[in-house]
Amino acid sequence: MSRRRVAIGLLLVAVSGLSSACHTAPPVAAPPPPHDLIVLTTNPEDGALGAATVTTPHGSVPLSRAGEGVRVQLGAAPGTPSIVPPEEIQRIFGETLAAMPPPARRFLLYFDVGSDTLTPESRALVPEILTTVQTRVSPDVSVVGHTDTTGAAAANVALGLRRAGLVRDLLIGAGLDTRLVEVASHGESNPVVATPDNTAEARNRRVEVIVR
Amino acid sequence: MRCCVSLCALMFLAFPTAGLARHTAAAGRIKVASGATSLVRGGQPMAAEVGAEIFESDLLRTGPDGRLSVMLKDESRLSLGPNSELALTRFVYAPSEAQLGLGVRLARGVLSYVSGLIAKLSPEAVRLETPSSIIGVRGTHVLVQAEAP
Repeated sequence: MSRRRVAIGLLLVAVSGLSSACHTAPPVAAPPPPHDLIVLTTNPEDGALGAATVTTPHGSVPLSRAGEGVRVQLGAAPGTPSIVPPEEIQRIFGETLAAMPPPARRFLLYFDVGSDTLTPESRALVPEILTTVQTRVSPDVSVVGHTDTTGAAAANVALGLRRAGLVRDLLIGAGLDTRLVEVASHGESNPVVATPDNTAEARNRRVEVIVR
Repeated sequence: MRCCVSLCALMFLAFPTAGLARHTAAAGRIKVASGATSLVRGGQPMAAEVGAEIFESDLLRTGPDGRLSVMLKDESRLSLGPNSELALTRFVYAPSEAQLGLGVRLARGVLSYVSGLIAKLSPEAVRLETPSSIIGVRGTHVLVQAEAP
C-alpha cells in the first residue's frame, strides 16, 4: 500500500519535472558544440587565391575555392567544406581583418651589365623607397641580393651580399636610418625567372629592397 | 686547456642565451597593437608594443578589446582579433641555405594569415595549428577561428 503510494508520488514528480522542462526549454536550437573554423579566402590586396588542407587524426579535406570554409570539432574528422557567406566572415573575422598591416613593398634594382653601378631607372627609385619608409608604422628595410645561376651557389651568395651592401650604402647616403636596414643574400635560390643551373639571366641578377 | 673549457662552461652557465643569440634573429615586428595585448617570451611577460620585435617561441595574447598584428621577415602577415592566443612555434628563414619553416599555433581566438615568401618558396614548410587541426597552406590568405577546447 505504502509502496504503491510512493510509486505514484514518484510518477507525479517525474511528470511535473518533465512538463516544467518542456516549459523552460529554449525556443531556439542548442548552440553547436565548440569547433574550429578554417576559411580560405582571397588575398585582400591582389585577389590572389591559394589553397589549404585541413587535417585531423581522423581525416583531411582540401580548401580551394574563395570563401570556402570547414568546421572541425576536437577529436573528429573535418566537416564538409562549404562557402561561408561574406556577412558571416565579416561577423567573425571583421575586427581581425581590419587590423591587418599593409603588405610589404618590394623594389627591384638592377645593375649595369658587368658593373657595380645601378641602372638609371633603378637609381631613380631611391627617393620613392625613402618616401615609402617614411609612411610606414615602425618600418624596417631588407636589402637582399640575388643572382642568376651562373657559377657556384656559394660564390653567388657572396656576390649577392656584396651588391646588397652597395645598395644599402646608397640608401643610407640618401638619408635612410642605418638602424632600420638589414642586408642579406639569397644567392641563386630565389629567382624571378626559374632557369636551369648555369644560366645567365639578367632579370635574376638584382637587389630587392623590401620595406615592411 | 681544461681551465679554458671550464671557463667556457662557466660563461655558458652565466650567460645561457649568449651562445644562442647568433642563431635567433628576430622573426618579425609588431605593426598594430590596440586594447589589451601581451607578449610572453621564455615565460616572462613583456609589453606588446608597436615596433617590438618578435622571436621564435614567443606567445602573443589579446584581451576582450585587443588587436595585434605582426609582419614577419618573410613578409607573412598575422593579425589577431580579441581573446586570442597565438604561439610562433617555428620561424626559420634562410633561403640561401634552403632552410625555411613557419609554425603558428592558434590556441584560441581569431587569426588572419596572409602568406609570405616561406609559403612561396616551400609551401610544405608552413604549418598552422588549432586545437583540432593542422592546416597546410599553399598561400595566400587563411582565416582561422579556434573555439575547440
